[in-house]
Amino acid sequence: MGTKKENTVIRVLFRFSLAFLLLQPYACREKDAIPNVFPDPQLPVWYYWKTTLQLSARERALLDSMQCRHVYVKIEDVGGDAETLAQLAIPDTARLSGLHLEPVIFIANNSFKNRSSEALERLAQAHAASFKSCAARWPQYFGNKPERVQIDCDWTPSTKNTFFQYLKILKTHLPAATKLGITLRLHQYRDPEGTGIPPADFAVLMAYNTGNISDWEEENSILKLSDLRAYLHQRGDYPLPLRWALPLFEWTLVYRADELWKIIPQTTNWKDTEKFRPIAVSAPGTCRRFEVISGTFVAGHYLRPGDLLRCEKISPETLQQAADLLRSQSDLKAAAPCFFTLDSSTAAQNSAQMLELLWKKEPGDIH
Amino acid sequence: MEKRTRRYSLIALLGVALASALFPAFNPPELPDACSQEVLHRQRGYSFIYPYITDPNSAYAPYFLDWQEYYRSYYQQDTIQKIANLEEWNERFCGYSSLGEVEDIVYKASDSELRALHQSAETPTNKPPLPSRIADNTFALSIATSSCTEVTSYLIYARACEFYVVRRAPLQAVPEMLRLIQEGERMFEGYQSYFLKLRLAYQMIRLAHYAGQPEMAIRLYNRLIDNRIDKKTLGSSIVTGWTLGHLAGALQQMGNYPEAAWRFSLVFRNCPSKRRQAYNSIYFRNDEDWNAALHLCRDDKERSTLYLIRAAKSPTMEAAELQTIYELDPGNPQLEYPFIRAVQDMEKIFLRTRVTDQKANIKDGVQIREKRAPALLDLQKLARRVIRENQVYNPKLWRALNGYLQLLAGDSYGAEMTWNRLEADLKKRDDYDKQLRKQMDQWRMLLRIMQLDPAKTFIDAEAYRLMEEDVFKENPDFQFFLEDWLASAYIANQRPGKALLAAYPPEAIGYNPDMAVIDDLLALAEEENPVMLEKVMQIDTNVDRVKAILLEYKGAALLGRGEVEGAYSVMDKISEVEKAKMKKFAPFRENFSERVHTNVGAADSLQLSRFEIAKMLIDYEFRAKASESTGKKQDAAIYYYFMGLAHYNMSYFGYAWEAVDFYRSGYNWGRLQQGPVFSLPGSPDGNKEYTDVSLALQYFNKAYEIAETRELSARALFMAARCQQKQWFCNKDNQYHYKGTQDQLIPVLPQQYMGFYNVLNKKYADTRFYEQAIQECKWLALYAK
Repeated sequence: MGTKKENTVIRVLFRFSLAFLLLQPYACREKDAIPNVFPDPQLPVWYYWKTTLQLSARERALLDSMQCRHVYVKIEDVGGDAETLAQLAIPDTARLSGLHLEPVIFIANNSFKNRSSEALERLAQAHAASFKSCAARWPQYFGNKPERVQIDCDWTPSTKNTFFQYLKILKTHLPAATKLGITLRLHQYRDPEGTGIPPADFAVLMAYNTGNISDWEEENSILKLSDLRAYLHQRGDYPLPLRWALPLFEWTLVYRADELWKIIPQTTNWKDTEKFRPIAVSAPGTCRRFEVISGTFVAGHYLRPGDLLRCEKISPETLQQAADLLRSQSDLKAAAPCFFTLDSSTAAQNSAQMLELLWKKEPGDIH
Repeated sequence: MEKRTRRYSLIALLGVALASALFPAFNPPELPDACSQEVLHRQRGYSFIYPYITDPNSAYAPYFLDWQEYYRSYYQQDTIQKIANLEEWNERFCGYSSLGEVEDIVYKASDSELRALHQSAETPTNKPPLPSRIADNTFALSIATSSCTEVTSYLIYARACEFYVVRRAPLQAVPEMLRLIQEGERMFEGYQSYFLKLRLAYQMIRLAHYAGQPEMAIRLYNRLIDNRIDKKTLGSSIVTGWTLGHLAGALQQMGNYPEAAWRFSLVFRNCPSKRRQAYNSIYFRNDEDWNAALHLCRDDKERSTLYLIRAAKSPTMEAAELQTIYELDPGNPQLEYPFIRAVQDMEKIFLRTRVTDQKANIKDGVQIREKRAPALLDLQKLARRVIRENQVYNPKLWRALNGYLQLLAGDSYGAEMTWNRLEADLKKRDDYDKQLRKQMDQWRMLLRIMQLDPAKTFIDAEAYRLMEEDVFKENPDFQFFLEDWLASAYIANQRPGKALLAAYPPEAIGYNPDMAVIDDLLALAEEENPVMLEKVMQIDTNVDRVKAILLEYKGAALLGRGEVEGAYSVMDKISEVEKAKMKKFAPFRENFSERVHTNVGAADSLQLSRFEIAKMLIDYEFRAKASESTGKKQDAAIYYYFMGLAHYNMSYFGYAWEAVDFYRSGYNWGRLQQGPVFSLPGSPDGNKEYTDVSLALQYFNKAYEIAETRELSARALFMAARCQQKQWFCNKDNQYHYKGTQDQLIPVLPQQYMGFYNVLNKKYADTRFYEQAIQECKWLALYAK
């Protein structure tokens, strides 16, 4: 039992500390005070998302011409039941020498639903072991030891706590010097108070998948500038060191019986007018659309008459405007972009010169 | 008397639910686990097909049937493979051992245990003892006493291979894998047993495949399997299919997709234990691959398997695809799986109601049903043809499902007739026929629900009687379907209140209050036999309490809209006893903070019920006008100012929002431009936020115009400026995303929304009020710069 005066002091201190805690996320920060966890932030980074890592000459040439030394490589696909669906194979280490490969583990969000602490512990241990295995093996293949690992998971309010818990456990199992990163969706970037801030050392903002992929009427589900603007407006204070990633992929979405059925990772195979009828689009520049009029196999999928196709890719102009928008954010302007994803198609369609404009050019008037 | 007592108790139940609904929540609730089943049904529709009308454990079934939960829980392909393998080993040793004992040796024995067993097997007399863990294992003893050294050496070899094939082999492991293959070839030459030769060949082909040597795998298959193992062993062993799967995989790796696909289809057809891998591996790059694979098929049965696999890979089944399979192989016992799947597709579309669509946020449900109607007719046509030609494996199943298709197409009389005729042909003691009867009982229950007529007085009682029946309880979809079906029927019969209660929890009344819904519920409370209220609501109270809650809902909503007189007259109907119980609020207090959860319920604030707030607002309006007309402008300005305060504080932006709103979501701060009605799971019409501050602004403006003191003018200007700022937040063109605190994100207002701030800053900066306000409101301080 303290005196009345002491109690008053305690109350005041309590209120002060409570207010301090509440206001902490919003407090002004000196950006330079955040330790920079990104090596070579002025150089771009590519994501490599295939399950077999085997760079073609063209892919390696693109990396070299952009002076790109770091590649984020998916080493493991974890499905909805927290089971490993695929692991990276590196059958040929040619064209990998001198690169810094940084492991990424993709985990389906459902993996964190109804997961016990023990299950999280097991999952984190397994993923730490995967990372350590890479760290042990990769130096002998291409000379560099990974020092960062990224977890790619589109966590939601219902999985947030479990996912964050998993990250905390994972961190304890990683070597002390290893930096733990996460990929960040735009809605999570916009609303850190609502979606939470993951206990990680850094994040990569995936500046795409802005639209509703399930909706046939959607203009372009990969990226619409108007959507991007809404996500970015007047923010710029995300409390983790950030890089940002632009979409360089393309795909065709197949709708069957009014629902999205398949994603085919190409947009050019629809020229046969006996099989595909072009559907007129309402405005120039919008995605090409087709209706299947004769059953046919494409990329392993049997397309039936009546199936609807929407081909999505992002034009260089839109990419440039998206890059300008992103670079206008105070927490994104310091680093060069990351690109999703490196493959034969993106290597063929994009030149280093064109891509370098995305961050080396001064941003135009974006408003 | 009894009737009245019952009526009170029935209506009383409404109260608790309504009362609990009156407690507001700040954020959209997380769906508890119990709800996830309902969410799933909203998205996927309903299913009333009973799994046991076919064999759900058939290895074919999971590729077609949509009983996901069932398969997740009960169907484990790995187990099928393991058991089949153990049975084959056991059979080889005359079946003397239990499968557990066989498993202990084949799957669980360590390398050292196997070596000890081998040593024992090769010692003719005075056999050394077996390790203690397997010393009593009859399978091990049988191997040892029979001196089966081929078996033990094979098991040691298989254990050595296992390390390289369970996970993807690292690059540096390839030389060791190739060495193992060489060793296996030497062993193969020395073995007598075809049973073990086949297994050795399988191990070697698998190693070659996994070592990235597909050519070697094909070469080994051709050299070891085709010519060196007798047909009987090949025809009876499950390992044949396993080996074929690796051959197909190697062919695919070599780019021979058509032959790979054909061989995978054979594995799919003949080898249940590797069916899943074959199904997942089969791949046609284009039409040429498909046609070439069809060409490789030796008969129509094999061709029908390719069509079956192609059909199984689609999320929906078309009658045309079924017809192709049927015409190639009418007696194929697997044909019923894609047929059931096709019917499942149809029930998920045609059993949906407008309420089901509304809950799943599907806006074009009617058009979808119209578009899919021809597909339903095609399926019925095919079913009739199949029944007429009578060549299928299980015609009774087709007849039963044909009746169900009739029901889905809206021909309930035809459906009933079809089932009656089938029932007459069923045998009483036949187990399968019993399952079919059970299925038809479920469909008849469905039919009874669909025949509920909302125009009849006792429909609610009838609905609750159905809910008590065992058949109803057997399938959880009945509950969800009944709710949606009844709600749709009530909507069609202009009973919006009953429709809401049938399909949604009672708190949904407060999300976006609809006067028609509340009026209908008030009418329901007056009815003689409100069974629905009895079942839905959970409170021990009286009819006055129920009516008071409903009237308060209505009054609060009217107050939120600024219809103060309406609110007063509605809430005036609440009994005096109930009025005394109404919750109190304090909306007439000045508060400069933007925080909406400030505790202003302190003793120094005027605490009023919703009814008293309405009464006071009417009184202030009267006094303001009276003062104005008698020249007492300062008095009038004060009344107007307080009325403005009340309306602002009761809005979405004020601390007293609970006075008009039963559910407020802070998340909507981030998307005010999309309002005032926001999407909300579990609410039929979203969540209305009371973001309109135009009435408050009118009162503040009026107070400013007629105030006679600069202090009051400054106060009114400040509040008017806050109203304008909030109007800008809600403007559709505004992309400002409010999130965080004042000192972090200062919204830059366009000039047309800065009017009151500008006047305040320019002309009233010398007032005492301004000095105080600028200290407390950082936005004002920044606007002043």
